[in-house]
Amino acid sequence: MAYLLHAANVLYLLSYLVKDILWLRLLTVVAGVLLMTWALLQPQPLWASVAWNALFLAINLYQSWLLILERRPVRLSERETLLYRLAFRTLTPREFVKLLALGRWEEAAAETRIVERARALDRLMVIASGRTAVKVADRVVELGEGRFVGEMSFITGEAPTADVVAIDAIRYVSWPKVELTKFLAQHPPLRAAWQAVLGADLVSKLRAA
Amino acid sequence: MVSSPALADAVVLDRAGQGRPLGSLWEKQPCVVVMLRHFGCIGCDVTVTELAPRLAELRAAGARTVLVGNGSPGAIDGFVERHGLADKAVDVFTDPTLAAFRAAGLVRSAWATFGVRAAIDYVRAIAAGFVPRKTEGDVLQQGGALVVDAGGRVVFHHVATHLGDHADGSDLVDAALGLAIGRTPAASPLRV
Repeated sequence: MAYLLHAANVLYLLSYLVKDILWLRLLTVVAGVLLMTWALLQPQPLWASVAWNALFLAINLYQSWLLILERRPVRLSERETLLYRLAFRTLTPREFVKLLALGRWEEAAAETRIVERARALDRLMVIASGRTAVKVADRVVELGEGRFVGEMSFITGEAPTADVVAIDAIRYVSWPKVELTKFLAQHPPLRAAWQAVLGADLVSKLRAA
Repeated sequence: MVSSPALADAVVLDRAGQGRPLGSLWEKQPCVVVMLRHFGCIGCDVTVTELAPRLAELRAAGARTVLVGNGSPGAIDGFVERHGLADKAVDVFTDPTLAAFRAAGLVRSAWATFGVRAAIDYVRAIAAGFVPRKTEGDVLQQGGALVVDAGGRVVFHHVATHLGDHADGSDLVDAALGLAIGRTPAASPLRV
């Protein structure tokens, strides 16, 4: 029976030698199983050891599952790939997918007003296809694919000072402001990456203004 | 509390020991002022390391970024070199008198430097690969951050309460972008 104990400790030793946290946890899981088996097979089963190892096993299995989920390859659909290339290249594909999961794909026919001047805007949008016109009095500026709509209101909390109307049939992703703000606050690295994307778009608009 | 006139009048020194009022830094453009602790502070190493990648964003938003330590002017060069700041959009000053720190309403406390929370910050910084260095300034003074518009109005204010406490770079960028939007004419069609 002692070989189980030795095998478990050899695996623990190996786990201390690997740098990858997933491999470390998986080796520990196997070692834990061996150790529990050894403890159970004693003439007087070592229940305290079994209980503690069961707890370690559960934690390591759960954390390993999370790590595996994080490492799964990201697969983007065609429209997602296009939008990623248009506006979100500085994000990792996984960050992009996390953001997309929070947003909603929407479509609007030509001539549809998607933003109304002086009316509080509760969402932030990015145009995936088609063109929009931003209108203030007699001034009109066109915003096309990959451009954000509503980011100034998102940052300042103020109502927009222009109307935004679809020129063609458009497809866009919209994020509810409140949920997006809350989500970004919970994910600081993603907030920084998102801010870099939004800031670059914003600064280019401010320079053109 | 931030005392805007006192803050603007507080004199900071450059690497040559030349003094200038802090207010002169935001005369022409908004300014992000990050008040460090002493130049050898491990918490400040973390602060600057996290802020460095955001400097270009702050500059693009039209804000000047300034770091203010509290050691001697002679310590600035080493600090700049250590953090690779020489070619970045940031200026480093110091205020050995701590007048700017007081005007900014920042904390000076032994507990904030040596308390339990500070000890945890210290261990975290070491675990993240930062190296403790020799003290170069007032060890009890804590840091903070301000974003000030070109008129001297403070639009963002963070007071650090312990060694590892610092303003989130995203909050600084948000404040700078907010000021950039504020400078855009309301009649611009791009202000949506």
